[in-house]
Amino acid sequence: MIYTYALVAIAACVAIERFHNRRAKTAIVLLLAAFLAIAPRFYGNDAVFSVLADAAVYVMLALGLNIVVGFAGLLDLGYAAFFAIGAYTYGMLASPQFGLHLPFWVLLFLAAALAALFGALLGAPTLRLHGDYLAIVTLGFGEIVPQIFQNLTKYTGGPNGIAALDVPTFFGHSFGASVMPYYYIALVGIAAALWISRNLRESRLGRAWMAIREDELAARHAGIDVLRSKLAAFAIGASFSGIGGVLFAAKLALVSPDLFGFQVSVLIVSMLVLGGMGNIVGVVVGSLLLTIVNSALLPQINSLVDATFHTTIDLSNLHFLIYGAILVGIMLFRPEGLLPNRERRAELHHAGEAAGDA
Amino acid sequence: MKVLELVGVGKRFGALTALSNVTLDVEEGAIFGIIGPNGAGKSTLFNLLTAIYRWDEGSISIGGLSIAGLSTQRIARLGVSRTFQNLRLFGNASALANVMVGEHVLLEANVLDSLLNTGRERRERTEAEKRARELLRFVGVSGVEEQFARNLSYGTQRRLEIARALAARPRLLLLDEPAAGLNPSEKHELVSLIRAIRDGGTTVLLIEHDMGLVMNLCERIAVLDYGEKIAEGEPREIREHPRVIEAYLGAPA
Repeated sequence: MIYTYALVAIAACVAIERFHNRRAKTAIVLLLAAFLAIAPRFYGNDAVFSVLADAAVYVMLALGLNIVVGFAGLLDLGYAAFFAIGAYTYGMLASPQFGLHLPFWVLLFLAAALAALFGALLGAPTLRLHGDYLAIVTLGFGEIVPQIFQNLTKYTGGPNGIAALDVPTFFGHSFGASVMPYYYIALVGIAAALWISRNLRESRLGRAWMAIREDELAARHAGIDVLRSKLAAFAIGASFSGIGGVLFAAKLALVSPDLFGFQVSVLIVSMLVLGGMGNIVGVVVGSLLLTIVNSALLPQINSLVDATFHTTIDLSNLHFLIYGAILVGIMLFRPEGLLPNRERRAELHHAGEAAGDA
Repeated sequence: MKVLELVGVGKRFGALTALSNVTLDVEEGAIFGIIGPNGAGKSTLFNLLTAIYRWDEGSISIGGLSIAGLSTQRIARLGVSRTFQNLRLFGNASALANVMVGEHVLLEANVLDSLLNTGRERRERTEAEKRARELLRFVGVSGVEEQFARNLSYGTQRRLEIARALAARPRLLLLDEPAAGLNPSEKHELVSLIRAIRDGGTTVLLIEHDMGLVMNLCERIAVLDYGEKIAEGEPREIREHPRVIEAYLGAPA
C-alpha cells in the first residue's frame, strides 16, 4: 500500500518533469494533491500513513537543504542540526520538562524562526569560507548541536531526551493517537515548501544565488551582496527543517540527541544527490525514494530473509552499506541524479556536449 | 566632469612595484584606452578600480567620490561595471539569466518579495527580462537567449559579457581586452558596439593590446610601462611619442 502512494507521487513528479506545458503541469499537481488528500479515506492504514508522514517531513528537509546546496551552492554537512533545533523547540516548550505547554501551531512558526536565526548565526562567521572548508565547518556544527543537547542534561534531559511531549490540538480537538493530522500537516508543509522554492528560484535572490554558485567574483562585480545572499540561503533553508523538526517531535512525542546525528545530515544530502541537486521535483523524488527504501523496503526484505532462512539478522545495521551502494551506483551511472535540472546535466556532461557541438 | 580620477596611485606586491605614482583623469563620455606591454600594470589598475586589490598610495575617486575602503559590490553600485580578460560568465545559466544578473543593482525586490513572489518581484522580473532581451539585441546576439553561456561561441560570449556589464546601466564601463581572440570582422563590429555604448551615455575605459583598434577607437590613451604612466594623449601624439616607441620597440642601440 505504501508503494502505491509512493509510486503515484513519483510517477506524477516524473510526468511534471517530462511535460513542458504549464497547464498540463498544473493539472498533474492538482490531481496528485487531490489523490493524496482523499485516497487515505478509502485506502491505507495507520502504519502506512505513519511512514508517509515521516517521508513528508524528509521531503521538507530535503527541500530546505536544496536551497542551501542546490540553489546557493553551499555544501552544508550539518543540516540535521537545524532539524534538532526545531524538534527540541517543541520538546522543551511543549512538555512537562519546564511545565511549558505552548500550542503546537505557535511552535511551528517559532521553531522556523529559531532555526532561521541559528542558520544565520552559523552562517555569519563561516560564509567567507568556500567549498571544502565550509563543508568541514558545517560538519562541526552538526556534531556540536546534538552534543549540546546531550550534555545540557538539566534542560534537555541529556542522553534520554525529553519524553511525553504534548499531543497537539486543533481547535480544541486533540490529535490523539492518530497519525493522520501529521500526514496532512506535512502535505501542506510540502506544498508551502514547493511554492517557496519555486518562487525563490525565479526571483532576484534566486538569480543572485545562481551567480554566486557559478562565479562568486563575477557576482560581486554585478553588485550582489554575497554574504547577505548566502545568509539568506542558510536562514531560509534552516527554517524548513525547523518546521520539520516540530512535526517529527510531536508525532514521535519524544526527542533525544541520537535522532539528529551525522547520519541524518548525510541521509538528506544523499536525497539531493540521488534526486538531482537544485531541481525541486528531483529532490522530492530522491527523498521519497530513500525514505521508502529506509522505512518500508528494508524492513520488509529483512523479515522476508528472516522468515525464509529462519534467521534473526538485523538489516538496519546494513542501511549505510545500502545507501553507500546506491550513491556509488548513482555517481557512476547518473552523476546528475535521477531527475536533474538543465544546469546540472550540462555541468556533468560538459565534455560530451562540447564534443557534440564541435 | 571627471568620471574617474587617479592621483599618485601606487601598488606593490611584496618587492614588486606593480604601479607607481599613476595620475589619470577620465572625462565623462570618453572612450579612454590604456595600453602597455605585458606586465605593465594595466590589469592591476582595473583590479584597484573594482577593489579586488587595495592600493598603497594615492587616491582614486569615481564621480568625485573616493572609493577608498569600498567593497567590490559597493563600487558596482556606484555605477562601475567591468568585463574580464578571461571571460567570467555564469556558464551553466542561460544567456538571458546572465544579463538579468547584471541588472541586480537596478532591482529593489527584497528577500520577502523573493520568498512570496510579490507583485513587485513579478513586475521587476518582467521588466528585467524585457530589458535583457533588448540588451542582447543591442550587442548583436539575439536568438541565443535560452542557451547556456558556456555553449556559445567565443565571440558571442565576449558580447554576452559586455551585455551583462551594461545591464547595470553603468556610468563607467571597464573593458579588459575586449578584442582578445576576435577575428578582424568581429573586431570591426566591436568598435561600432563600443562607440554605440559611449553614445548611449556610458564612459568607456579599456585595456587593449590591439594597437590598430585602440588608435582607431579611443579619443585618449594612456601608456603604462613597468607600472608607470609614460605618456598620455590623443592617438596621434601617442604614436609619435619617443618613450612609447622605446617601450614597444626597445631602446635604440
